[in-house]
Amino acid sequence: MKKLLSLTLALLIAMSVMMLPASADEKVTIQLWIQPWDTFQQEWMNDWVEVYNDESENVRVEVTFVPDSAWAEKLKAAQADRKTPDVYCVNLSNIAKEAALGAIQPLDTYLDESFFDDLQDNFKAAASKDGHYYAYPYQVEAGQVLYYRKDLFEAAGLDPETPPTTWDEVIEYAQKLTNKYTFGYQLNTADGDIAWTSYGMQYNFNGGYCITENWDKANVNNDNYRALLNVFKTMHDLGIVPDAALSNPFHVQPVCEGSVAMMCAGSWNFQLIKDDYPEVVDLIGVAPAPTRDGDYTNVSSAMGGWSLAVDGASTHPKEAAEFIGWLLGGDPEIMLDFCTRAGFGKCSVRKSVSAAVAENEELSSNSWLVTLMDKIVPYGVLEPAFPWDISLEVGQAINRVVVFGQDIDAALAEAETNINNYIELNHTAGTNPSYKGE
Amino acid sequence: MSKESFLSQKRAVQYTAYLLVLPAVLLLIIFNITPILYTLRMSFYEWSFYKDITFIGWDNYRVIVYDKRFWQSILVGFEFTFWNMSISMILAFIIALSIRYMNRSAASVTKVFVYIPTIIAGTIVSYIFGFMYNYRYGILNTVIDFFGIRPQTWTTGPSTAMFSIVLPSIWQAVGVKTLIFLAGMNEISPTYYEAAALDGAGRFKQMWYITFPCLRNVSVYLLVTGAVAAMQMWDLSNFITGGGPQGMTTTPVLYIYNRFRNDDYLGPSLASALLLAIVLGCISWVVFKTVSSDKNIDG
Amino acid sequence: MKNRRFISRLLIWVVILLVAFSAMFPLFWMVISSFKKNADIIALPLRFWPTKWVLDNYELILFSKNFNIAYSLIYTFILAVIFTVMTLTVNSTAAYGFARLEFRGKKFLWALVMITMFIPGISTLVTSYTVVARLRMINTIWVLIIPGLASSGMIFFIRQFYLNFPLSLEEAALVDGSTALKNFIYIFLPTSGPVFVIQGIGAFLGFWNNYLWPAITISNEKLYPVMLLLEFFKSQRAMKDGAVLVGAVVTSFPPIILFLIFQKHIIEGIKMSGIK
Repeated sequence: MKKLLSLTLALLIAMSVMMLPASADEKVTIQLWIQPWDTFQQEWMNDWVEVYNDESENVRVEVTFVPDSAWAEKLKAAQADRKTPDVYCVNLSNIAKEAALGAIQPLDTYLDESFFDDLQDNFKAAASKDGHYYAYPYQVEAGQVLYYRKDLFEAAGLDPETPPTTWDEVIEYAQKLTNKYTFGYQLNTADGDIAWTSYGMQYNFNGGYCITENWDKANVNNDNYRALLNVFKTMHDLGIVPDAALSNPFHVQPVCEGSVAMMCAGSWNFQLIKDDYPEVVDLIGVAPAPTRDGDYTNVSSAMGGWSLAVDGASTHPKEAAEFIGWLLGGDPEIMLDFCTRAGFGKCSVRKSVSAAVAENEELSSNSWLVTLMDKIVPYGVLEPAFPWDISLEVGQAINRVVVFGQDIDAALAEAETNINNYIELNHTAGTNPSYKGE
Repeated sequence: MSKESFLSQKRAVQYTAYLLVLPAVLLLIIFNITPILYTLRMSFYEWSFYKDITFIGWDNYRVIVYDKRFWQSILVGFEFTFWNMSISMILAFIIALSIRYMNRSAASVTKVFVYIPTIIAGTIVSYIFGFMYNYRYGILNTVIDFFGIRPQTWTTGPSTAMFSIVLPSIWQAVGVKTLIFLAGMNEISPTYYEAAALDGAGRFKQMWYITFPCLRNVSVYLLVTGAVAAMQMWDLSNFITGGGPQGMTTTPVLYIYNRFRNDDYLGPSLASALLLAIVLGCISWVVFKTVSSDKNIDG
Repeated sequence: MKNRRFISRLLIWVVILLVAFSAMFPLFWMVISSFKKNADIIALPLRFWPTKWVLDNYELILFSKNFNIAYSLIYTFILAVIFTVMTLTVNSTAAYGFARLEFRGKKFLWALVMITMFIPGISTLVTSYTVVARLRMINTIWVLIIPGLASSGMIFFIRQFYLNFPLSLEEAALVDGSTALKNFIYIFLPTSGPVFVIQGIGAFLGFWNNYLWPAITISNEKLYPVMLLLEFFKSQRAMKDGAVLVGAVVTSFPPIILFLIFQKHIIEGIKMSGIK
């Protein structure tokens, strides 16, 4: 018995010793959390953080990569415990909401206006709320870019240099391209996937998303959405798209494989195609996503992007903000390095960096990147900031029409009812942090 | 025994009992009960991380109770549990029965094979099966194409989505059940069977009148633990079907998980989890009351 | 008569083959695919065997400069074993206490144990984090081991098993001057083998496959369990199906091998009179 007690005591002491925190550092430590999207991104971050740590006398930045599948849980747990990192990654479309929740604090308290002047206009708007800048965007991706196989175009008698610009053309071309081995086009088929991959299309058809600016009621039971749903229905009815998507919504694998001749997917695929399917790089053409009337300046794609922000409860906001400013808003070399390492397809949000990219021979000869930067990003619109459940209703409506054969009007009416119910139940009306007012 | 020694025996037993039981109980209190109580408390608040928390009473629960997707997920949970439990129990029983008739080495081999799928993590299982379900590249469609059936949209089709998640779950679940059934069968005294055979009962009659009843408590244990586990499945539906189509494969925990990730405040996800816990508790209570199993039997 | 025996033997063989095939096929396919080039994995018509066996994916995973998977495998394995031993100890002693001993507050404590079985894990994810954060366990190995040690499911299972030990044995021992504790160590423990193996494997797997809890409580790369490491590969947006498959193979095999080592005990058959 005595032996057991002393053993337990020893064990407890050992445990508590292991739990003692490391001796306090003289330097201020900034914790930074970010998702590991790509290998090059992790390397870039590690390299430049090292540079900053070497140069800085009193600040030390520690980076933790958190896989996206655990991101929400990890962040929320830390927030609940009031032990959040000083800096973390925020999606562009969430900036206003996080600011409203108090989860991030204004950067311009510590950073001079000049840092933000360099941002392109639509990203200035994205990063600000009520006249303050709450985050610094660093990377932007277009969610909908049209990828097509030039060789398959030729084989079907189509001009490989004129991809379709309207949905009617897409349908027409796809019919010519569909044969035993290939589908002309691919649409997503799971309701969640449909919902977010059609953001650009929705904005293009409807001049806005599926709810009003003030988030007080649905804006979905109208001719615009009818036309949109018709596109989906027609494509499925004609058999020019596979009944179930051949890949998850992120990848253009089927186009690389030749199972599908055209499809829309995100611009992050540029580098992936180069890495995994180098032999088809020259066979693939890139164009703005099709639009209702062929005019790509009227929003062909929604933009997703990432920014860094300072946590609302950070105890070292000044140092944190200064690091962000240094990394993302300072010497254009740093972001140029990012774009270079990205090779293909990461768009810069800053005018100076974009200019540098344009001067870079290798990058500017890349027709894909040029298309992205000239024709897609400047006309892109941010992804919705309102709750996901609402967007999901649109995806489910489309899914009902396509898979369950529901009548388009009925599907839209149902979506409208559901969205309005959600808004009422969750008091969503009037909570749009970016709402400018009448 | 004298009275003193009896009492001191009793005290000694109490002392021992606490010594044996308290480590686990203390751990449960610290790491399970406390979080549950904290969750319960916070479910009545708007749990803002950056501002003061505000008491909002039943509001979080209201949001959940009026959300038809929550109730849909409960029904989906029931449906999934039904298919998972019925098929895996039957399969496990048949396989266990077959193993009984096998010779030693065949039995060993089969036991190993049947248990291995249990070892693979849910996310990996989802990945493997998701691959096999691919409309174009998947092996499932290739095989049925060979038989002239047109390719199926396994994971997105309304009639096949549930099947697409039930299949991997059975693949994983049969192993443990088989072994436990087998153990239960091995415990049935052979004299019962001999007596029945003497009375002229055929194999089926023996199974019906002897095997089934003797396995009743084993079955109850498997039913309760299996159903509670099945109701809490979320990874298969998240990674294989995404919960669709139209939420037809969104199981309760997936619903909670989605809420957790998407909502601004944690309140509704906590409330929904607690409501689910009540549902699970009720299921188990009902099954237990139907067949009580808490006895100290002597062999 | 002979015909009947033949049919039943045939049926048995059918069962064996069906079980073996359905159990192993997905795994077999996973292993085969891990040696394929990406093009082979998604090729049409389906290519079961690789056109060329490539080790690229294995190279990528095993020798990645970002993540040391070999180290993580060993480290996770050691922790898992420690965890399994500790959890079996804690839970079996409690199970014995609840099964055999009488003490004040027994009913109350038992109810406490049972309640924890019905709460879905996700609901206490954040609140458990707060608890372990208060205890300063974040980012240590203890946060991986200690919170999960007590398991009401395991206590329940083992208690059922102990409930049905014949009392006669203990009574005889008590008369001979044994104590309850001695009974546990000398009578119950030795026969608990097969039960411990089944529960132990379950505990090991629970620890091995868990990645969400480590993800939120550990930020120190050196302390990452192997499934969390795998998540890093899966989270990246590259189309690296082959690499993910390799990761899946590599992280599945240690538990499988462990199981194969211990399967003898399961083969021996489990005395489940307790469950009856």
